[in-house]
Amino acid sequence: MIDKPEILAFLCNWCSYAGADLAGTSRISYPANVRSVRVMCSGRVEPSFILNAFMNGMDGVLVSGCHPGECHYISGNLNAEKNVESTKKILDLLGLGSQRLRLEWVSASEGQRFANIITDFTSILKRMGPNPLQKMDQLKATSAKGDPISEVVASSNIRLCLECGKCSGSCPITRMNPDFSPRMTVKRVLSGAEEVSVDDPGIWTCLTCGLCQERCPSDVHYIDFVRACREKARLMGITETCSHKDMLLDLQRIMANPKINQRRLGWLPKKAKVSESGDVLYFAGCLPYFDVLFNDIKADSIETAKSVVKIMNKVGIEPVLLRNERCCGHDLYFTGDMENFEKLARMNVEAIKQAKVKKVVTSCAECYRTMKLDYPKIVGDLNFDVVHVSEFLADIIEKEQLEFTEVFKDKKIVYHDPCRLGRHMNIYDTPRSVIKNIPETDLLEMERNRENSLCCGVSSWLSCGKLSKQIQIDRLTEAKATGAELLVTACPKCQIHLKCAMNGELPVKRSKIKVKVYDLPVLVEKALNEKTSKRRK
Amino acid sequence: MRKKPNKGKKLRIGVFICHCGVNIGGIVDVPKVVKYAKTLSGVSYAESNLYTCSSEGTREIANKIKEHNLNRVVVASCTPRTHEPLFRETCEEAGLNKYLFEMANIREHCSWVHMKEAKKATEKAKDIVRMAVAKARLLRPQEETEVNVTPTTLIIGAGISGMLAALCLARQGFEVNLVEKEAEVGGMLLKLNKLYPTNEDASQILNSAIRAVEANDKISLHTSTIIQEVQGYIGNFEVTALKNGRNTILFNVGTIIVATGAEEFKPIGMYSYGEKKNVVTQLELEQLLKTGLPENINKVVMIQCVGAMETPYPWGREYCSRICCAVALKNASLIKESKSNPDVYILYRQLQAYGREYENYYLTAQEKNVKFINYLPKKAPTVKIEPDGRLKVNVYNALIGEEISLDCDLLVLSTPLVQHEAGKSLSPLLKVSLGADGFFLEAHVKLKPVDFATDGIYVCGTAHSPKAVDESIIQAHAAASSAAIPMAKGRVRSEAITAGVNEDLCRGCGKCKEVCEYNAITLEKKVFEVEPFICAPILVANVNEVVCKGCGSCAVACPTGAIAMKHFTDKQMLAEIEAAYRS
Repeated sequence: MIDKPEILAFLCNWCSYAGADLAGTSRISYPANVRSVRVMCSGRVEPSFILNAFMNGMDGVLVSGCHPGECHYISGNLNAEKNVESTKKILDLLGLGSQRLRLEWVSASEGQRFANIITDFTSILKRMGPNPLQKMDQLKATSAKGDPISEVVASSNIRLCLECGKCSGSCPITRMNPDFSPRMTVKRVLSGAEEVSVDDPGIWTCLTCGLCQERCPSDVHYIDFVRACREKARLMGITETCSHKDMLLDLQRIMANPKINQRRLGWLPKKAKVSESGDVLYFAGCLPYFDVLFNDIKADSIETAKSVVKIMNKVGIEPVLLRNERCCGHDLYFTGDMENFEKLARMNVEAIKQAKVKKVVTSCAECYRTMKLDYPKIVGDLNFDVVHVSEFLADIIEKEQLEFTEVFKDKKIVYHDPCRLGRHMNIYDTPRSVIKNIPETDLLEMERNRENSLCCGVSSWLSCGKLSKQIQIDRLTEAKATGAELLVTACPKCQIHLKCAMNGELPVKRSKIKVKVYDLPVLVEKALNEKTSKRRK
Repeated sequence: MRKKPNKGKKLRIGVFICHCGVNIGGIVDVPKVVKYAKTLSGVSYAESNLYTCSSEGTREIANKIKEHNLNRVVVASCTPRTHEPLFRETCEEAGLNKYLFEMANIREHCSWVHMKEAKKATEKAKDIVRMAVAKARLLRPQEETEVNVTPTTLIIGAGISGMLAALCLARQGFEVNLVEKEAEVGGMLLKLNKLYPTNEDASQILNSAIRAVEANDKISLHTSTIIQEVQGYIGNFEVTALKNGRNTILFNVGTIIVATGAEEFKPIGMYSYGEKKNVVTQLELEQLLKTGLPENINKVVMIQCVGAMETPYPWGREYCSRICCAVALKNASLIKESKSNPDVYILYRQLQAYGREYENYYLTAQEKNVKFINYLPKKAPTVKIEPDGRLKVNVYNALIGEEISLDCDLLVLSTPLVQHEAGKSLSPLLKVSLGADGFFLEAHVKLKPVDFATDGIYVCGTAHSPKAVDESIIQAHAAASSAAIPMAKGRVRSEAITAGVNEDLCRGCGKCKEVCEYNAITLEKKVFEVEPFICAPILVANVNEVVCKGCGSCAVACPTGAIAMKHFTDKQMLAEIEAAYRS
């Protein structure tokens, strides 16, 4: 007997929980479909708690705290208000509807009010119908499929390891945390101590940046290897929480639910021209979500998507945009959640096939790698081309379809290679050529560039912390040392991580690392001549 | 946060489900819930009691903890807000850390609100028990730390509030350091003539306070001394001050009282103030009245709310200064009592004469033929200087709807009390807040009226808001009493439910510090040496557990999950959330 709709209520200890108590002592009845979770302050309610409640099948979530000005902790309720507001935006993007989440102020003397809110919320939720998400299956302890490690041992050359230690010597993590050594994880697996490797917290701190792999004389595919270790760990019930309380990975898991029907195109400017079918599809990736989640560091992620569409329109392309585009699944793949990764891959490929496009342009280096390299492993050959936006831009520049102004005249620009684009996919020159084609710019190189480039410090939202901040400060210092005024990258995540590193308090003088960061399409869009445009011939 | 399958110590959870007479048992099918609880993973004992909170019930819990070697206890009964302390104590007495206890509220949140839906109530009770057990599985023992409190206080400001707070504490036996930035003690009272509601001489009250302070050997007075730096927390503050601009003094104190007072707003440029000598403020009038009003004054006009209750204004002064009406009434009456018996007009917006004494003042002033004219903020009075140099005040009398012209010899402007620069600069040193109108802001207007959000720091007098001398004195005693509590106890117990930092995950971005209302978080520069490299210094957040209140806002603000809230960890909360759904 399940009493629908189900509501989970987060109640602050001092006001709202006491208000609900008063409803009890006053014998005021309300629907029995609500369960309460006591928190000391409504400010403790993480957006990830709310998301988890929905992932667990709750139809509605109530966050309730003291009235403004009456918070036991002065302003915790106002923090709750901010957190709920941004979570509502996420729920709207996911198509779950922000009305499923409600924030109410209930004081200790408002028993009747609490009961009224539950009654009212219940009737609203009844009208909305059930939450399309079902309670997610628990992680299976065993896998029906083959063992990921034995598969990777067979395919990744790890038996060829010479024990030279170049990998550990190259690794930006080992440099600061000698407890982690790529060579040791390989060694353990080869000597039969596989369980130790899988249980090594270090496998989660690896950036999968591929610098070790680049320098390995035996061509050991360490990226594949460490990814397989994570998949195996997951099968053994060992998981690692990613930054932002797993929010970003949870979002991907939600998107892996076929019943999800997102509303993610709200960012499209009115003037933008897009179509339902055509040759070119723009795969925007998770930019609309980043725009909400990283608003506090002014990541301006959505500018990338706006720029891409604007440039495409300028050269006469009206790209197809998927209304229900799902995350490419890169982070799930790299954290070993193959089940949900596969779901995402299949649904995205199916949607792209239905649009009958010839070419998919991604502005994210991770989407690019994932679709081009990892999707075929799941769905076989794709019957469309996948290109990175840098390739697309280089192509239209070469065809002289773009006309630039000299807004970046004499600007010193430095290019940061995203690992996924550079070492993973071997694209180094294309983005550089795009920058060079913008008139009068001065393209500089950092000390570590191209194959030797230093990672932005975080991948798959894993391992963010002390070490990544140091790597980021290191990288920004390096960029600044070239004399550059502008750092351009070709991955929205690099952009988020580098901008985050400059945000807030710093252990070094801000002037030593502060540099303007642009995503490549944004740079190109800013350099465009607004008046002229050349149609495709 | 790494999650591994639990292979550690075996869980032995005891679940005690209360009938609460018929309160729960009359609606919820308790035996059914007991049966259900036994099926939950980790539960090794489940039973019902008629009244779990009775001495028999708690004895039963203690016995079962020992008998079944229980390492977690869940009581499903009423609200934790009333009964959690009792059951925690029971656990502690039975040798179980009291934080290994969790409560399931199946009365206030279930049986009492679903009285007509017994079946649904039973199902919900099972849900609530399942959620509590899910959280209980992940509970960890916690310790409440204690810190010693130095039984010495620092009082900043030796006006009447500061001095009386000092005397109050010194007479209770505490050492008091009384610091005054001026060369002379006394503050605002030095400038006042007579005090309402008794018309006593200000000097009379002030001198007796000064004599008592000077005679008390528990009070050490430091004049011409300015606070430079404040470190530490309740019980152990280290305050550096500078005397005479050269000598540094260090105070080690357990508590701090802010009694820095306020100053009168100088209405430069308003109503010819600063231009004409016979346009004065109420405070300047007090000085005139001390020496006696010049004989040639035949007509006095007072304008109320000059520079107060203005909107909008960038910094403060939107407020009513509370004392000016009574001051005007008092001074108007005193002027009327003088030999020349001049005409006195009070131009007011809203006359505030609250309480019996002030109402009497108002009546007395009316009896003495003081004239009251109500003006509108929109049609504020104007002042003209006549060719002969006399002042002419024009005012639209809002009650009779006519413009009135008043020649006057003395124009008195009632201006609000405002925060002074010294007060503003003290706020960041003490890390305590100023309110919207610039005065020091208490933690809670009713529950903590003289306490700051930062423990161990208190406020009294006009530093807090404009108020009369009698109110300041009452508040001084209140602040002294509040400060005496931790000092008399000698130690403070800090919350066990506090934030903790995982240094490896900390990026030192300071988002936690931004949301902390208690200044419990600091960022510390650290250098990690990793042979053969020396890494660049990084910032790491540090939580002062004595100061932390455990609200958890910092944990939410932290992007990486470096901050964990004890007893409300992400893991525990997520387990509870997951258990909420009926599978």
